[in-house]
This record gives sequence, structure tokens and C-alpha cells, in this order.
Amino acid sequence: MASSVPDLLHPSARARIDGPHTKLAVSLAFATGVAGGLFVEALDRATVAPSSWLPAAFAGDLFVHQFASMCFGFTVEGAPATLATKHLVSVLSHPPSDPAIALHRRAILSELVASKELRESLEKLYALLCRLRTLLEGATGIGKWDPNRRQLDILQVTKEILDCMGDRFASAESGLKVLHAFAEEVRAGEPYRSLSDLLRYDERLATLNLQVTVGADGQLRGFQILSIQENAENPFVNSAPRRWLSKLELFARGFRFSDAEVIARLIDAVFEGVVDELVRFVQLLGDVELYLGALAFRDRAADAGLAVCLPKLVDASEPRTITQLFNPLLLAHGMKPVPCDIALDRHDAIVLVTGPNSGGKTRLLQSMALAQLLAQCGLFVPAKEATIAPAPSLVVSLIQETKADQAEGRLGMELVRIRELFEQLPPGAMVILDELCSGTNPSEGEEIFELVIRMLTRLAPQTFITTHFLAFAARLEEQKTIDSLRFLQVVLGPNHEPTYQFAPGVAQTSLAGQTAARLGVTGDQLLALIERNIRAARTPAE
Amino acid sequence: MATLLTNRRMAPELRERVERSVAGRTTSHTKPARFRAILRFLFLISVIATIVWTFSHNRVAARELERRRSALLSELRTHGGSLDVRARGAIAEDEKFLHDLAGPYEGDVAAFDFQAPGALAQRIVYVRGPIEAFTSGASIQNAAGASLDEAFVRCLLDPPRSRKERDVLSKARAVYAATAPLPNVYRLYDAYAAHVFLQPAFEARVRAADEHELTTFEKRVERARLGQTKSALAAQLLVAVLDEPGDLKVPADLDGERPHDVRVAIVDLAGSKVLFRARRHVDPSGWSEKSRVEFASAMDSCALAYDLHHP
Repeated sequence: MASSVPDLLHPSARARIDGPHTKLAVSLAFATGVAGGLFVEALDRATVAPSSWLPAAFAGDLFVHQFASMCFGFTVEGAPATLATKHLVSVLSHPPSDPAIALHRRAILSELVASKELRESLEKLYALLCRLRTLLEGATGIGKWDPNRRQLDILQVTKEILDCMGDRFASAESGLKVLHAFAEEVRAGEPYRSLSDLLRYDERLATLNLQVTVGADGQLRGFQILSIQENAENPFVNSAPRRWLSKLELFARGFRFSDAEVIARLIDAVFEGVVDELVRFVQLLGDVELYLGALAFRDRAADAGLAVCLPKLVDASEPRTITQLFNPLLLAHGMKPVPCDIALDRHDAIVLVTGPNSGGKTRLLQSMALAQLLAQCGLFVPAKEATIAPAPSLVVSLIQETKADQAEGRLGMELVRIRELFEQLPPGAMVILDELCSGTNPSEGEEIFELVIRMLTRLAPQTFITTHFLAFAARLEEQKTIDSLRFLQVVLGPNHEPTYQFAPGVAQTSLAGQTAARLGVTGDQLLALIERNIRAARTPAE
Repeated sequence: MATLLTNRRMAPELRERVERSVAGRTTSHTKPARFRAILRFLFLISVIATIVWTFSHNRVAARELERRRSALLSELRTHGGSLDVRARGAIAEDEKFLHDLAGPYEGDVAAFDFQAPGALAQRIVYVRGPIEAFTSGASIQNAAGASLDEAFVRCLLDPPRSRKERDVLSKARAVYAATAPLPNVYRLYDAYAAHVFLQPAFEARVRAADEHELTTFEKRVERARLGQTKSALAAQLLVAVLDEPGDLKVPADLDGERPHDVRVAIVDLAGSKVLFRARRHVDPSGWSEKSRVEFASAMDSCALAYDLHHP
């Protein structure tokens, strides 16, 4: 058993899946060919690096699950990969507290982007891991009827995986080099040699030198065995009488009297030697999936004319500069997002975003939060360039669905939401709030709004809040009583249409009338509807 | 636990794993295999035990068969070995004399002295039958089978005191009542009965016989009374009585006796010489009705024997 673990997610390798449980599951799967979901189940229960982020505070509102399944989806050998989405979401939702881990992942992604060969090797490795998963989790084809064949196929794929890791990642300089190191360690051991010998034994027990004579009519006329050469160097090759006696011995021990039983015992012995490596492949599959998913996200963005990057990690007091930030959820749903640039003099500011309805404010908040999340995970962020100041936590409150059993009205729910925010907010965290205090009259709402902002300043968070309290925002901008307060407004086009770009300042209008007209809610339009209904009521039914 | 699946070319770690694989781990799914192994072991033991028992039994049976075969051959050799050349050809010799005697009567011969001491104490083989039965070997054998130890030979060895009816009847009654065999008289049938068993051909059949055949041979030899046969074959005198056909016009007595001629011959078998040959007429009409009812034949035989002693 190799002492190292091929962990691609962490600079100091760690076994994150339940080893004994997975080993038992792999052994049963190997023996029976019936273990649907073994890999997914093990990965779902895998631990992640320590993280101060609480997924409950943001994952739902950010649609992390949808993001992972739709933006990280990729194909393997022409077919969509079956992702362990729960594992992926778990990794994405737990940005590691140790910055070295994110740097480790960024280095791997950088190398994969720079080296086409390494990326192809990783894709090849993933394809082999998927083949292993398929063979282990469900017997198909001949494997249903010939367990030995299926088990030999599993061992063959195991060897191919080790060879792929050992041969194709020798040049890697990032964290990918653990694949080569791991494979070399395994290949130097006895279990790998026995595995290779067994596969050679399966393929070449002996070599027959045949002479076939064909007549003028093309018919076979003669068939002669010139020589038989047994592969005597292979430790699994025994003499014919010994093989026969072996069968007799197995029969006396309660097994079947057959050649298949002999090879089954040898397969069992070889499998026992490499089962621990197979267990590690389960974790490796999840790791590889993360990187190929990130690369697929990059490819998907590029196809839409967008760029992603590994952001520059800076201190919270440094300026925030994001170029061509886009919303990946829109990209995932087949829409082409309009990228925007964000420039602020510092990260730890409280940014009030104002602008018309449907102007892209909420999409901006989603993009900012996802960029923060991905950056801290060590992955590509949806922007051409970006500076990101790591935050110890993220709280996102974008949507407030009305629930049948909610105890409070809309204002009450908003106040509960504010209370929960402060209950879980550490200093320096990122806070994303959409339309704070919109559920009550403006004068009272503004009071609570200002209270929240003033309290937030004590925690120096990176905050983005959207609001339609334009006068209130304008007053705050004018008074400049809160030092960390910054303002972004939606830039409108010549005809007051939203451009989905953002500029410093407070919007003058929410363009509610324009939105109402676009949605058919002007006085004339409503009057026309009323008159139509009255006419319809007066007309007798035919 | 060593296994034939491993060899020296295998790494020690691999050998250990192969041995574990063969031995089965202590998991529940290996228990049926162990149970099967125990069953197969018991089955194997029972098969081996059956084979060993069968082999052993067959060996004992074969040994017993050989022992019985040897015993039978030994018995045959014991009896056959004591036969001299003359005894071995005795039946042919007897048949030749009987065949001649049944032919045209060649006249009386009186070279036998009935009164000489011990003249009839020699070993005698005796046969009596209708003259027409003595024409061939097979019929002679049949006649010999029908010929019993009857009144003539007993009266020949111990004749009545006189030819008076009273003495002859008394002797005839004594003859009928006698149960002990005569010590020196053997039936010709005794010679036939086991003669075949004393031939080399029968020995060869015994050697080749299986258990069933050997059992049959043993029973036949046991019934054959080889001692009697041997004595019959080694007899010194042949006493033959050939009854010529009687006068069919005369009514027969209740025991079938009617007046008829009788040829009597005494042959010295060692010398291949007829010592006595005579042709006599017997007629039961001379006896009282009361005696004839039961003893006509015996009385004629005893009277004939008396006549031979007192010509």
C-alpha cells in the first residue's frame, strides 16, 4: 500500500473519504458487480478542508448547486460526465480557511491552462477513472456472466490508471505532480508487479508456433503446432499437472473444480494487494472532476466571448477592480450575460447599489458573491481580471420567498433576516443584501436601513446592498457621515434603458413608470383592460 | 496454509495473499465454502472408505475363493492321485465287459470258486439291469443308475441256508430289511457318479471357475461321494446280472417278476478276465402265492445266488 495519497485539492495530502467503509464497498463491488452509487456515496460523505464559511448563509441564494451542475458540466469521451454534484457543491461551498490551499489549486489550474498535454492527460485519467467506476458499480455485458472477466477488466483499468498517472504527469510542476509520485510509489511495490504479472498471465499463458497449410482452393489443408512455449518467467504460470492438482485442491476446500476458480483465487489475491489504491481513486475522481469542471467553465465562458481569470488576491483595504464581470448563472441558462466593470477604492466598503428595476443590480450581487466564492476556492472567477480580498465568511440574502407557515409579515421577516445576519457575521465578511427593508413604508424602512449600515461598519465587511430608497441613498452620499459607504448606480442608455453597467453615484430614478409601461401597467393600458371586461360582461352569452 | 497455487517465483507477500484467498477469510460469505469443503471432505472420505472396503472385501473374497479352490483341488488330487492306471480306465473296462456280456451268449465259464475262502470278500462293483440296457456307454450308465444294492448281491455274499422256500423267504425278508451297506460292494453307478471329477479336465474347470461355479462344483463333489467312486473304480471284481426279457405271455407278479433267463458274470478286473459266466432261468411260479406277492423277485434272486454257490 502506498503511503502517499493522490490529493489534488490540498498541498498537504489528506484522505477525505471514509477509508474503511469505502474499502469494504469497493471489495463488495469487485466481488459482486452490484454497487450502484459507490463512488458518489463515498464522495458525498467526503470531508472538506476546514472552512469558516457556512453554506447555509449563501448556497441557496447563490444557486451553488445549479452553478456546479450547469457551469462545471463537461464531456468525457463524447458523453456528458456524471458528476458527483453533491461533492462538487460541498467543495465549492467550503472555501478553505488556509490560503495555501487556494494557491495550490490555482497553481494546478494555471498549469492545466498552460499545458494542453497535461489537460489531455487529466481528461484521460478521468475517463479511466470513470471506466473503473462503471466496471465496479455495475456488471454489464459479458461481466454479468463472467465475473473473472469483469474483475480482470477492473484490474486492467487499475493498471492503466497507475500507468497514466506515472507516465503522463512526470513533467507536472504544480500539485499535479503528486499523481506521478503516487503512481511511482505504487509501481515500485510488489502489488503492482503482481498485478502486471497477472494481466500478462491472462493475456499470454503460452505461445504456440503454428503452421497452417492452405490449398489452392483456399481451404485449410494442414494445421500443425510447431512449438509450445509457456511463459515460465511469470510467477502465475504453473505446470499443467500442478494446475490440475490446484483445481483438485480447491475442490477439496469447497470451491468449484475449474480453471475459472483457480484464476478467481489469483485475482482475489492480486486485488487484495491493490484495493487500497482503488479506494484512493474514489477520492481522486472527485478531485479531478473539480478541475475539469473549472476548465469546462472557462471553456463555456470563452465560447460565449467571455473570459475568466484567477484573480489577484489582495488585502481588504486595497482597491477593488473587476473587469468584465459576468453572471455565470445567466451563462449556464444559455443567455449571454453583459459583462461589467467594477472599480472601488477599497474592498471593505459598504456599497449601496441603486438603479432601475431590471437594471442588473441583483445579477451584479450574484456575480460578486460567486466571484468571491470561486476565488477563495482557488478557482476561476467570472471576470477577465479581478482583485479579490479573501473574506472569512459570506452572507447572501437575495430572495425572500413567502412561506405558508411564516410567522411574521414581510417587514417582520426582513427584521428576522437582519437579526440572523448579525448573529452569524464575523468581522471582514462579505455581505450581499438585496433590497433591504423594502417591506415597509420608506420613512421607517430608511431608519432601520441606516441602523443596519452603521452597525455593519463596526465589522468592516465587504458589503453590497441594493435599494430603491433613492432619496435616502442620495442623502447618505451627500452627508458622507459614514466613511466606508460607497455608491454604485446602474448606467442608463440614451433612452433611459439599462446598460447593465455600473458607475459611482446614486440613481435619480428607479424608472418604475418605464418598467410599468414595459409590463403593461400604465393608466391607459389598465383602463383599456377594464372597458374590455365591462363589454364582455354586457354581451349576452351566445 | 500452503497451497499448490503458489510457487517459489511468487513474492512472499503475494504468496500470503494467495494462501489467504484459498483459505477463505472469516467473513460470512466464506462459510458456505467451508461447509461445502467439509461436506466434500466427508464425501471423499466415504468414497475412499468404500473403495478401500470394496478392495479389501474383494481381496478377502478372492483369498477365500482361492482357499476353497485349493481345498477342492486338493481333495480332487487326494482322491484322484490314489487311483492307479487301471482304476482310471475302470469304467471303460467295465463297459467293455458288460457290452460283451449283453451280446450273443458266449457260453458258460466256471473259473470262479464260490466256496473258496475270501473269494467274495474282494472289493466288488456290482450292476444289474435288463440286457438291452447294456448296449452303449450312455445306456449302461442309465442302467447303473437304476441298479440298486438288491437281493442278488446280498444273497451272493450271504446265501440262504437252503433252497427251501422258508429259507429263501427268510433271506429275502432279511435283504429287504437290511439298511447297512455291504462293506465291500459298490454300485457301478458310484464309479460313474464322480468319475468325471477325477479327470484332469475337471481340475482345469475348477481352476478357471468363478465363485458361483466353484460353489456349484463343491456341492456336486460333496454329493458325489468321491470315496465311493474311488472304491468303485478300484474294485477287483465286477459282478453283473443281465436280465433277459421274460415270457410276456405269462402274467408277472406284483413286483414285476416273471419267468426269464438271467446272465450272471463275475469278471476279474485286475486280470481283465471273465471268471464266471452263466445263464440261468428263474421262475417265481415255484414259490407259494403268499410269498410271491411281496418277494417274488427277491426270492428268485436269492435262489439264483444259492444255485451259484451250489451248482
